[in-house]
Amino acid sequence: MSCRKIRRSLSRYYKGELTTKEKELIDRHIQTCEECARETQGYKALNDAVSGLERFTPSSAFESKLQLKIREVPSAEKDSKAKSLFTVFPSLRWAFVPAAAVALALFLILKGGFHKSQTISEKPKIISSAETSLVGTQTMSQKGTCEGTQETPSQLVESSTEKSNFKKVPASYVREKNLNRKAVFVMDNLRLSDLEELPDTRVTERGSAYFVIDAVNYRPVDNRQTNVGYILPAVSTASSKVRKVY
Amino acid sequence: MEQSRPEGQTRSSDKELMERFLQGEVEGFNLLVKNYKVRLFSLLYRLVGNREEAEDILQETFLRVYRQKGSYDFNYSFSTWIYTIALNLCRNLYKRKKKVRFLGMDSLVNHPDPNSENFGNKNRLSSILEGAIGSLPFKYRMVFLLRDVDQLSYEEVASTLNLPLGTVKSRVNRARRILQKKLKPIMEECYELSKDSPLSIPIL
Repeated sequence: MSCRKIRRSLSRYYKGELTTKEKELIDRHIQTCEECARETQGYKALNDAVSGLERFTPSSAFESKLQLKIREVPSAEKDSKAKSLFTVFPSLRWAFVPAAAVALALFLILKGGFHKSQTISEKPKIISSAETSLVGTQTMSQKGTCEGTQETPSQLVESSTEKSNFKKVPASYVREKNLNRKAVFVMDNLRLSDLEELPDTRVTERGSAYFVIDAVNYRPVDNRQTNVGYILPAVSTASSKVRKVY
Repeated sequence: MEQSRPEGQTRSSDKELMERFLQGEVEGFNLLVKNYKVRLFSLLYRLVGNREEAEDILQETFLRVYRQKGSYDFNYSFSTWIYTIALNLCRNLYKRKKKVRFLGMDSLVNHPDPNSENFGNKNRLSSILEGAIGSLPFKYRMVFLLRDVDQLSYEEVASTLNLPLGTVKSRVNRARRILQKKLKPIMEECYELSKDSPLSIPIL
């Protein structure tokens, strides 16, 4: 084996990280090659020096500082695992599964009922008067043009953080078909750079937009498309995190 | 993965301590702090080159262990978990600062660790070695310190740093070769001296 190959393995030689065969090869080689033997001694010296390296200790106040910080940890976090309900009452583990299943079933039933009533009989909610300046109303014609008509909203519940920096959304974001009823859409994740002028539809800097359109048979099928064929990219309605009652 | 620790602390007893801690015994946590504080502090000090920052990271590491005890997975060794936390914090600091000043030989010699037991007797080669380790690129320094100084197995290093095993092996080898090259002059001196001495490396 050449010196070059031998030297590549020398760093592992003193760590005992080579196979027996590789080790024997190196043993034989360094008996005849003074350069490599010298290099080997270098690694041995390195190895010895590393094992003799100092251990540093943190300052004497370290543990008291740590204890101080631990005292600041909320007690809920402190006891999160140590005294969980299941630890205290292990039998509850078995009761949990059916209870969760019943809760899930109830939730699904109620949710289904809610959607149904919302789709069929729900009157369009009106946006609060406080939000008049923030929320626009779109009446969508059959041909897909938008006629911005300002209405007086009365009930939109919204956080104050989203009341500023509204911008317009482009018409291309809203494609309509057979829209007669009013619905409020909350749009998320719009890039402001993509926005164009569209009367009375507004978007916050955070990417949420509010606008009212007339919609027939509108159902929040998913957060992008309704069953009447208009598509609102990045629109979330029923599933929106910031969805409000309207 | 099971390997005896420098302090004689085995993985299973770390897990036992963690178990005790999870059952509400704070003493388990205190013993873990005692077992790991010197080892982790030495590593962090050599990585960031600053006592205060190393202590801050160490404190945050133990705080996270305390707060996130519930997320510890008993299928993995405790040391891997705590090293991962500490090194992630360290890497975050590194990214934030872009370039962290690390210990050089001079900084160690001129600013000896006051808590170190026999820093005053530190030999020349060790001082040079500290400087050489401090000047290693960050990625090589991390694997070298974990493997050769803290004596973690290659598998543990790979798991701690979330790197492929082959990458870890080649980085460790590379780090050793860089160090050997940097220390060559003084090592040659050692070699010359050792030829006339019954001890292998008499000046160490």
